[in-house]
Amino acid sequence: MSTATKKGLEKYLKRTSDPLIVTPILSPRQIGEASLDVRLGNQFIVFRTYKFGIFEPMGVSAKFEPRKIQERQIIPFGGQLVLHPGVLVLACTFEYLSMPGDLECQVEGRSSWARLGLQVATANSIEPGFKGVITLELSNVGTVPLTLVPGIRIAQLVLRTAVPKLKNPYLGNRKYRCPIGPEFSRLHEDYDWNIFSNPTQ
Amino acid sequence: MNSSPLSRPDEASWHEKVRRRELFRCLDNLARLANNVQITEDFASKTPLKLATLIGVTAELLKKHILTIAPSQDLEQINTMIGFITPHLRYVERARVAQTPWSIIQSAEELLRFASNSKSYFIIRPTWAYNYSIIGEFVSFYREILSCLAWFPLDEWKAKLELNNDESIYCISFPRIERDNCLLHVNWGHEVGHILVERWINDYFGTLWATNEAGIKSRIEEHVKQNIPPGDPLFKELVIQEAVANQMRSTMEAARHGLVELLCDRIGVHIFGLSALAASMEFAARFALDVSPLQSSNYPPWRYRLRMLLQHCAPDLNDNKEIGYPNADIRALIEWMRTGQRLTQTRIDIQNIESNVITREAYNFISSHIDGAAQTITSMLPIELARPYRLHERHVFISQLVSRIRKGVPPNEICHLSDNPASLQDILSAAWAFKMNEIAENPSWGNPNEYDLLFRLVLKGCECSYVQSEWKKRHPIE
Repeated sequence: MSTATKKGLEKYLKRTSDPLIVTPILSPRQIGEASLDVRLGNQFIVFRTYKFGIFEPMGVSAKFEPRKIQERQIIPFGGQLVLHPGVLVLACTFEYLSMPGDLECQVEGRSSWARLGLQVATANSIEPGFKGVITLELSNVGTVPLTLVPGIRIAQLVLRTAVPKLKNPYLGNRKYRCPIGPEFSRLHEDYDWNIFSNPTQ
Repeated sequence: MNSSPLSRPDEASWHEKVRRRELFRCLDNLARLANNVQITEDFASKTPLKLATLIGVTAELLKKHILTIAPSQDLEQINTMIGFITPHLRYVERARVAQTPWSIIQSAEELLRFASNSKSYFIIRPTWAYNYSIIGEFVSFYREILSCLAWFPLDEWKAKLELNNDESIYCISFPRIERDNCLLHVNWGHEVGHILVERWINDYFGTLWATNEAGIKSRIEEHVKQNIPPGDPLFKELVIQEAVANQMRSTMEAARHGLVELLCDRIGVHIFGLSALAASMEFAARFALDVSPLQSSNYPPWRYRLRMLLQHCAPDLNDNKEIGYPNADIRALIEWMRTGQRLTQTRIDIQNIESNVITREAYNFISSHIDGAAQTITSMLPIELARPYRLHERHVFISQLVSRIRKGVPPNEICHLSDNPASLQDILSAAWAFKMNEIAENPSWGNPNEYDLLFRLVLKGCECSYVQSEWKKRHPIE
């Protein structure tokens, strides 16, 4: 695996067969020497902490339903989201990605934001063939609230070649198919979910 | 305890005192509700806030003066006003970002504003009724009812609204059940047509009707004389006169309403092209096609409407080998439209219209004047929209957008990395072309997941193209 540099990135973006699609790239300056900056989308999933004291994903009797503890919020472009210390929200990139079969990508924070206490992603690997916006797990590990505005450059993608190239990447029953906003967790769709969540059956 | 009835003056005094107090309380509540909705809710555009401000400022100023300078004889009128104004808050509340297809709202509102000469703002909100409609205009309505109150400070009211004199606010409703079905929302083009058509009706319809009235009246009179309503022979002439007058009134209503709807259809298809026709065809399929206007609140029969639309879209329905039109991505859509043409070769709708003197005369009038009226109305559009949107002029770009949807990518830009965001019309045309391709290839296409994916990609396409266009305006040189 090798990291794609600016020239490599441009080659992947411009090739006609199975290109890397990142749309829209508002400014060419988003393409860095070995990374591509992505912007903050305007959909968020926030926790409804005022509703529940506990959430047991593997609760035996209750159905897995993250919407009980989380809700979607849309902040129109021009609006803002204040991320308080210790709070996690799910966000997404503004750009929609279509990954070719020979690239995988890591989502990284930007150091300028990290210095203010913002962590951007923890589940940060994007497989070859993925299509959609990328869900970001934003958390403020600093001590002062951060104001986030949809459209700002929030993260960077580091792209690496995947060898050998996948012929039919990311097809079939994937849990997250062409998302255009952050998606609620679908843990319960894991193939081994029932084995451990309900051992008596 | 005194149990004798109140004297007239005492009752009047009691009535005024309680009325004033209660109206003050209601106005205070209304002003607070209008203010709260602005603070607590998010909207896809600023227009709902403008209406909330209009309601809030109106309530605030009425409240400010109701305890002091408002004369008692105006209190009943203020009560009626509150009854009119309060329900308008629902237009604001229902336009909350979470209730609307917010991705398409901004670009759609911008296009609709542009089409109506940039002086109108549009709230776009869902309604549980299965219908598209337009309500308004709010600012002039408020100005009119407030100007009846001699003491009301209209200048202060205008200053607080921060609206220019000729700016206006409308509310367009769409069926809630179709919220994400952005393909159907091209019907908004028809709704904005109502603004332009109303101007034409106000300026020209009366004169046009007057010049045709004598001919229509003589034909109706002749018909009535041949079919004299039963009654005392003594009053025969009177009965005839009354029947003629009634039928003339009905004819004019049928002509006016029919003309309005058909002209609005024309504006919709002028702005959005074939996708407006496609949406009308799908919408029409839910209803009977040949219902007489007299049985459907003067709406023209659907088959008649589709025929008119198809005539207007004819240049897009012809093959043009020189430019390779229609190409493979668009062919299915065009074929579907051609099925529509065959559908309109049946003339049951016209037979129904011809079978009644009222509709016959009304639709003769319509067919004589619709082209001239449409020409006048389209001349009211800004120069950039003066020419109708034609698919055959855009088919190469549409094809690229269709190909993006097919790959699971939003149709937001023409050529990747081209810095060329697609227009709303192009995006929706591509969405219709894609849908018809899929149905042509696989008639069982259309399960909830397939629709959901199409709608999501198109909505994301609308969002991205709008943001990219705005970005280009602010950062023209990169």
